[in-house]
Amino acid sequence: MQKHLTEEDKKRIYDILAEAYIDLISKQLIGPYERKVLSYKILQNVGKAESFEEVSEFVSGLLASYPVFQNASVRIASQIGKLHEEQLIGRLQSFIRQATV
Amino acid sequence: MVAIGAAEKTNLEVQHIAAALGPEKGRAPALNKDLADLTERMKKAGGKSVFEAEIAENPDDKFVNFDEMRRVLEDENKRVASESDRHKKADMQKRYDRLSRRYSVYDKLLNNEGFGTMNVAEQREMMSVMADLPGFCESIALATNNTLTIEQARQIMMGKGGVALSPDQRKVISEMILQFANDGKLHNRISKGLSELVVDKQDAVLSHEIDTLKDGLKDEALKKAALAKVDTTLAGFDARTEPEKDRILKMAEISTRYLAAIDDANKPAIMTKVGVDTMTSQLKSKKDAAEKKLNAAITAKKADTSSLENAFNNLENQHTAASALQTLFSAPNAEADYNESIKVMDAQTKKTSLAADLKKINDNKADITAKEGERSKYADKYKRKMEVTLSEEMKRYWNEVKLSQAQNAAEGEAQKKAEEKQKLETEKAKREALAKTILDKYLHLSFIKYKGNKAVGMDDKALKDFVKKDMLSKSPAQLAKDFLGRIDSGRYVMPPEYAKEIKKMYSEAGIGVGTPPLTLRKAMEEIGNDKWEAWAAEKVPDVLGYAYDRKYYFDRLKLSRAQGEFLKRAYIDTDFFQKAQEAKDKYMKETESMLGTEFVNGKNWEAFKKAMGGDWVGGSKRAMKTLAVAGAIGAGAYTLGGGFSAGLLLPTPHNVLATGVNVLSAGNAALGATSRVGEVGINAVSTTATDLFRRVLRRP
Repeated sequence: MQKHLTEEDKKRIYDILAEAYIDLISKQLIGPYERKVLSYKILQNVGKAESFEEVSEFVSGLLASYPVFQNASVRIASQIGKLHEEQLIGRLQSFIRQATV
Repeated sequence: MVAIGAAEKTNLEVQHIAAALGPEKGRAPALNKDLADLTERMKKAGGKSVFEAEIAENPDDKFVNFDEMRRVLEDENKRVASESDRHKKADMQKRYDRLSRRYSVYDKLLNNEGFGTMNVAEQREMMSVMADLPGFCESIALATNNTLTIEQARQIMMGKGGVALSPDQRKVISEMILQFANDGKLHNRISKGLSELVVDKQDAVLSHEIDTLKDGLKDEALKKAALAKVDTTLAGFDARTEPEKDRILKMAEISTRYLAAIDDANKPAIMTKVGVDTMTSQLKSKKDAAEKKLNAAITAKKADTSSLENAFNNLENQHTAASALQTLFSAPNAEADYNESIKVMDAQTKKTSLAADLKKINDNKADITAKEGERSKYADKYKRKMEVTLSEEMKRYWNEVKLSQAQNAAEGEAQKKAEEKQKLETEKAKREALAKTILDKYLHLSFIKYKGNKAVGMDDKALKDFVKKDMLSKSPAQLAKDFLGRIDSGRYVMPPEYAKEIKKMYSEAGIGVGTPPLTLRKAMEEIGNDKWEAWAAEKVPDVLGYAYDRKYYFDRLKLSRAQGEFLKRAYIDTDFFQKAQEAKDKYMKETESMLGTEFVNGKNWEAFKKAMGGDWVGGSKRAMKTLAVAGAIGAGAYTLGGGFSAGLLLPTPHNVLATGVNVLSAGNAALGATSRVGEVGINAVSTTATDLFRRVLRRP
């Protein structure tokens, strides 16, 4: 089961990606032409993404060209992990409730 | 203004250029406004706004018209293809290839693919420009730790080969090239240069005109072939005998004239004898029928018979012409003559027309050449600019970005060095101050013996060594260093509070801090000799004062000439013997107050008793050893420098030393006498001291 991304989630994702993006610029690893393209890609992909998994997949794609997104990727993956954990606990709780009834 | 490609920045060394080229090495902090703006935006409006701002239209955006470049290239390609002169064509082909490579370089650089995706020839385009930049090859040599010479670096950059590269060298070079070639600032410059590339409007007008003219050239070959065919026909006719030509020409003339009188509908499909015969008989029938109709109408007295009359006359004329042709075709070779005459006439007509066409084509060609010449003025300007943009912008980028980065690095480095120097100096001054403080506070304490927290006596052995050995052989500076070393090694036997305090001072001075940790010895080495000497001038008399206090003074001292000379040299400008005497007074009191003192609560009463031990007299005598000297000096019984002067305190060390040397020459007996004088002094003073002790001991 995938969690639908809320506006707050997306904001957090944009923040994480922007941090990596600024890092990319500060390290002079990206030129002005590429910047436009990359920014456009990020807006498009995150904008239409509905789950963390989709964003994660997109960021993994970015990683191939820009290793600087490694950190962002890890952070997004950890968001997914956290979510899965919450879901797992939720399921466990409902299981326990059912078992004890 | 800096000339293109010239390294004119001041104080710039290759190492700084190499630093600017290197990946994140030694670069001065980049004060990038753009970056600062993005970070600010991120903080204020969140990450999304960063990306939105990036894709917003920017008036500074440069647009490179790749389409136009391609069109110019295609034109050039066509020109090459249409060139017939072999040598000229080869030259043009070379130029086209070069332009084409430049286009690929621009395309890959600016359309997001970068240097890595270029083929070898394209990469070479950029590398050969880099090789000519002042300082670039030098930087490579430097970055490879001079394992490559500048000339070898140039060879590699120019792709000349002949230099074997180690993986490390290859890595260094490729990093430098990539750093240069893939820098956004360079791309920005190139795109700015290329965005100025515009083909003149007149070029398009001329291009259209030339295209139209060229359209007219496309049948040239066909027309030439047709003309050749016509010429063959005419040549065949020309080869005939004159009578034959006359006959054929006559046939042509007559037949043309007769045929002109006959309606097309009545003419035979093919002009053969049979055809002409048939035509003649048919026309006769038609003429007879028309005559019959006319006659009938006349007979019937019709009002208007003119149309019938005209029809008859027409047919009659046609029949007459046909009959004449029948007569003409009755000759044996008439049919062949006729066919040939038709061919010749046709050929002549065609020839006239084709000649006119070909003349026009030639005229067009001249026009095209003229217009292309005119157009090439515009195109050449464009192509030249397209070609040189790469190298010019690379050179500008080198001057304005890389060299200034290198300049920043140089300035940054200089500043860093100055800061480091300042820091070192500050630290050094701090260490000096602390060293002095430690000497001031603990030197005396280091010569005291302790039992737990209590001072139980003086380190007589050390004092004796100092007076009789160290002071006579070691330089003042070395003595001062030894004092500090003594405090350092003795701090653990001092009361723990002192050890703690010293440790605290060490850490303030940065001793034991850093990687590797700064040692005391290292810190001491940093302190200048003048300092040590100045401290020695102050502290050596102090220690001499402690020694006085313990009777290790010069009246019992035997000095060799060398020692005398040494002292004379070492302490010539100091009045430290006088100071030593003053120090003695000071430290005697200090020792007195400290002996047996509980350092924490200051109970010195018990300590005095302990110091004297169980035997009152022996104890008091031991105490006297400490106390007597003060009295003795106060009474003028002793003078530094010995008993020869008995009671005279010599005012200057020079004199004292002179006395010291005299001691040497006076011999041992004299010295013995001096010492006896000393003992008398001690005994005399000890009475007073004993009284003092008794008074002290009587206190409740």
